[in-house]
Amino acid sequence: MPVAIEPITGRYAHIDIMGETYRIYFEEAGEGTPLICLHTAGAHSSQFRHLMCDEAITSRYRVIAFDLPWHGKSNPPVGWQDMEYKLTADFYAAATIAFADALELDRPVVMGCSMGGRLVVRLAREHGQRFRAAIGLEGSNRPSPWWDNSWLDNDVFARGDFCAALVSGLASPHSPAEFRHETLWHYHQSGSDVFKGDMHFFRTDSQFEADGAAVDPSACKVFLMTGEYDYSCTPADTERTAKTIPGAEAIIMREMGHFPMSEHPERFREYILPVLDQIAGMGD
Amino acid sequence: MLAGLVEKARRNATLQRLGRNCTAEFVIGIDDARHHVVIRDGLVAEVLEGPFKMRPYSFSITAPAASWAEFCKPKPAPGFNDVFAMTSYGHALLEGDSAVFLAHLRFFKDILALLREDA
Repeated sequence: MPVAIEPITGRYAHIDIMGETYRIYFEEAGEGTPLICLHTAGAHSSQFRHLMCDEAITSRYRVIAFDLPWHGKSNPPVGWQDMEYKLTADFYAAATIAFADALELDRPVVMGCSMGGRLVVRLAREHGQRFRAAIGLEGSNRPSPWWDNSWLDNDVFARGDFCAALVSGLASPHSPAEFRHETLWHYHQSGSDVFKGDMHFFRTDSQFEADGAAVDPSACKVFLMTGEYDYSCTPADTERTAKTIPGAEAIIMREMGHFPMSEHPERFREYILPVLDQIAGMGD
Repeated sequence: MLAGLVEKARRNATLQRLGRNCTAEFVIGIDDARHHVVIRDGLVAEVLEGPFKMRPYSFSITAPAASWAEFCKPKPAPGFNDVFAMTSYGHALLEGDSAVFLAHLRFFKDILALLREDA
């Protein structure tokens, strides 16, 4: 019996982001319209592996996911040992644009989850001409804290088991146990303080409420898709955000949690395929 | 709701491994009733029914009985599937020394999961 090898390939690119060169790991599969995928805080690009193995998507889309610096197999900057990692909105947006430019992607679709879902609101406003559509999974336009920022002073944020336990309830009880726990494993893997550093963006430096109104829907349509079990970005957060963005569409996913693409891939494709169909129908 | 917790925890080797460095006491509040859960080296040693006037504990999680009933379903409704879902939506209150709770977060969450009907 032949060995099962997935169609995903992984490579490294050396990319300048805000004056620093980073060694960035990215994975991809498929051909067609580029679809850049942004992982959640404290995780990495493996969250999108199921999309990359779905021929209904890869027959039309080039699905590409990169690990942000400090995450997964992407390096931190040289000299990291003397730095405290804190993700800023400026850096996150710059990294995404730099990645798209480096790979010479022609008006890609950008899809991010959680902190990535929040970033797409800013990307759609600032760079709407460069993206044909933006999909925010579990995305809203401002922090909506469900735990106190004072907790960030606790050393537990340096522990993978804590990061996983902190977010474990964000996965839906309806999602298959195997994929819920795989999703949590990514948090176990996250390097010391990486999740905490991402929280700087997610909980402090991502007030994008003023951005939505400036989105040009004729250039970049925004889709916001949120699971009904998500209490980090609630369905109400998503619907409120969608109302502030011209042309935005809010889609609430039944029985889904905060990590749709990785916690329940079968259910997620029921929701994402029609959105990708719609984007494909928009033409260039 | 708490019946059988000690025995379920005793049979759970993973739970004991996760809590091997944990000795603590916390309170599960159901309506006005306060139940002290005593942890010794990862074992749920006993669950003590009040009323107590001055018994010390680290932290408490309190909720109305109806909220706990939803939490205990195999697949709770949104907002009830996790202690943080419950505190986020105001269905439950986490008070006291949260540092103890955070230091052994999965352990305590797994103890609460033993309250589920199908656990």
